[in-house]
Amino acid sequence: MGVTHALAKFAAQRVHVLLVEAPDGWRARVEAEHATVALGWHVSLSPADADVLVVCGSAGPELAATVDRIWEQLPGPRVRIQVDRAAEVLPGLEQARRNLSAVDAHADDARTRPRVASVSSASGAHGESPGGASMDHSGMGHGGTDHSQMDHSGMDHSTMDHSGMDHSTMDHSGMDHSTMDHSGMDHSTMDHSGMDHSTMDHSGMDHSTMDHSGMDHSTMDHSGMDHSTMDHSGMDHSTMDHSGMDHSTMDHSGMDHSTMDHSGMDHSTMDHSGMDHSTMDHSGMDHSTMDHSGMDHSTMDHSGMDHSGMDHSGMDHSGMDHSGMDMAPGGIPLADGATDRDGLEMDTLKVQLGPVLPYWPPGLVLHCSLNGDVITRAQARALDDAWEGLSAPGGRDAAARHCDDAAAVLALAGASDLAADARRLRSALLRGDASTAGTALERLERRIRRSLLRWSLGRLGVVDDSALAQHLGLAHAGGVFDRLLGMLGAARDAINGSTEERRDARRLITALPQLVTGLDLAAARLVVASLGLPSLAADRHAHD
Amino acid sequence: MAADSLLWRIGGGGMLVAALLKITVVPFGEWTLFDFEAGLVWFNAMDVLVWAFVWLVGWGGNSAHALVGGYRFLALAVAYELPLMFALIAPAIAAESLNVGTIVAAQSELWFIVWMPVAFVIYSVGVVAFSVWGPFGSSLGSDIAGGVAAELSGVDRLVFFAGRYGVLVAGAAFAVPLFLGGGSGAFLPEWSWSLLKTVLVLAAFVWIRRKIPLMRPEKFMEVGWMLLIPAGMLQDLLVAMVVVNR
Repeated sequence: MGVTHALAKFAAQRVHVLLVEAPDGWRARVEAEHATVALGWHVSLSPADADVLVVCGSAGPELAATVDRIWEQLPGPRVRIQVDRAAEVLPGLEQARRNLSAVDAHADDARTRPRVASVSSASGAHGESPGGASMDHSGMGHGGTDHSQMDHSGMDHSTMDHSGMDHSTMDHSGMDHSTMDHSGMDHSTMDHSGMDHSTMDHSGMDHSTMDHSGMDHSTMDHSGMDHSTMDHSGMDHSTMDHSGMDHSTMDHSGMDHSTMDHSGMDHSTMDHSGMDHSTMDHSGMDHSTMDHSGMDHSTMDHSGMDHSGMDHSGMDHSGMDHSGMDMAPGGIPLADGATDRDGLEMDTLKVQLGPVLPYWPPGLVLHCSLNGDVITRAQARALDDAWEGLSAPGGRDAAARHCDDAAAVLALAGASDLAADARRLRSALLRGDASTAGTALERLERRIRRSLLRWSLGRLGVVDDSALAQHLGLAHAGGVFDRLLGMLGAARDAINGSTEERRDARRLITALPQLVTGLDLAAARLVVASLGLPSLAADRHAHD
Repeated sequence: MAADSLLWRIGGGGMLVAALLKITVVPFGEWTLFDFEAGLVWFNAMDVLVWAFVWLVGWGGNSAHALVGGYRFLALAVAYELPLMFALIAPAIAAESLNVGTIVAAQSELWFIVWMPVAFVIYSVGVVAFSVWGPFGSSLGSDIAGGVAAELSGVDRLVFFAGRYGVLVAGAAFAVPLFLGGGSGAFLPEWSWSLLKTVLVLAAFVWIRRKIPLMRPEKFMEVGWMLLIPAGMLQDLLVAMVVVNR
């Protein structure tokens, strides 16, 4: 056994475990937490810190997709296990430990895994976004964009390399290029080789059998012509030959092509090679309300065109409206500006909380707009509709579930010792050790009341509106601290066998955005945890 | 929209460097690695560097959670750094020097902790805070998936956390010459007293980690500005009056 194997075995003694809980995985997750601590392992907070990904319960299609992205973000060596019931946890973790030491398998994994993890905001972990080469623009929709009054003056596009771009299936119908001025642009030495414009839709144009070869249009003067209201629809220009034309020093200034209709033209197999467009002047043309829909430019040959000396200066692209375009490099939306609660202009960041986040209700997703770390807009959603119709399951585990809720609040509030107490209490209740649990519960409650939590949680998350509180079925209309004590009260009631009030998970989730908007992330997390959502999730393996 | 790897790694590695540079001005018995004229200012400069390093780790990873962690650290830093500076001033006034060796020598009759306990407490709060430790660990919080450290893995993670423990140890070690009489003590050689006192202070810091809940930045801002700064200034005033009338 080499040094590598010895080191791998040594490193696998203290495994960092990332727990993912599916809505029916409560029991398995609790057992995994317990086993992780018992083995002297460590529960990690993010994929970057994890060696083993433990999926507790059966993930629906949406959660499974998220888990796959999280899996990509785990650094190697990595092991992934699935546990559906509590009894599978310990054997699963032991197997994971053995697999972690399998050096050769992890070397293969490192060679074969994708170089760049797909970007996700699921757990805040972003892979690096890929570079710009070989861009795929297929499927972009530019329909309806308004480019009128654009100003591109003085642009230098020389030495651009667009090779390898895929523009197939783009839809440019409905664009408005009226009053554009492209004079003065330098397109020399641009390389458009390898572009794919196939399946672009200019269908319907027909320029067949026209012969423009050898024409000399130099020094023509088209200034002042009025082509408005011309109708070119249905023309056949196929097999036209424009090779060798000299359009240099043409002057098209002042032409009015407004309201021309070129729909239905066929330009297939046109040959424009060798054309000389240098020193053309198109300034002052009016192409507004032209209709090019339905043109077919497939198999056109533009090789050998000379655009040098074109004058695009004085183009006006100001006032371009690109709204509605999907500006998301690497899939990450750019930040918009917005005014924060103090009236300062701040970038708005779209962040998704959940479904894989420590002490977060399973299968829940909160789409947030953040100014700094303050939530300005929020939208809550249950993945795979997993929370539909769930309400407190009651039964044997009810007391343990309430203790688990309390442990989550305590952990988020940073009271690590108290959270550990609550987890021990949870384990005692699951073992059915009700007598010790009773005294331990009282002791925990006393310690929480005496702790600094009353000050640090303060009046956080107070539901002032008693009607809202009643609607939500919250035991206490007060703040996070009151609801924390309420969880322990509910646990005591469950131990004593008294029935608890029913809370509706769907109602709580619907009210979430209202409760967290305007709070910073830390406060929002505490408020969400204080609602005790996880204890509501049904657990199909609870009673086997 | 890509991670800023360079700044990210500077931040991650910088913590350990700052910790080691802090240790250089701490005297152990008769040895001081870097017996600098303004050793106290040196220490203070190093813990301001920690601001930059924690922020860079939060910023460089291109992760929303890490960025929020960075925000939180800066908010806390604004609340702990000024009180910490006032606390550092007290021993310097009493010893009439910024040199750490001279500050130790000034405590030959009475340890500074005895008549400047407020400064010692504020100093300890500052050390725990710049180490992102315990109640001041919200920028590494579980609510934001590990915060600043959310994207750290492997060696990056090891070096960052080694640096974090390092600044905590350096802070504990620096409390000894500042408030606890340096190496003075019976029977044992001076260097061993310095080590022993360092371990005791460090043990107190470690003990407190799980006992006090997280200080959310806006809560601690109140404490820092309304309580610790006035208390630190009063302590400095008291020390100054004693020194003038001596």
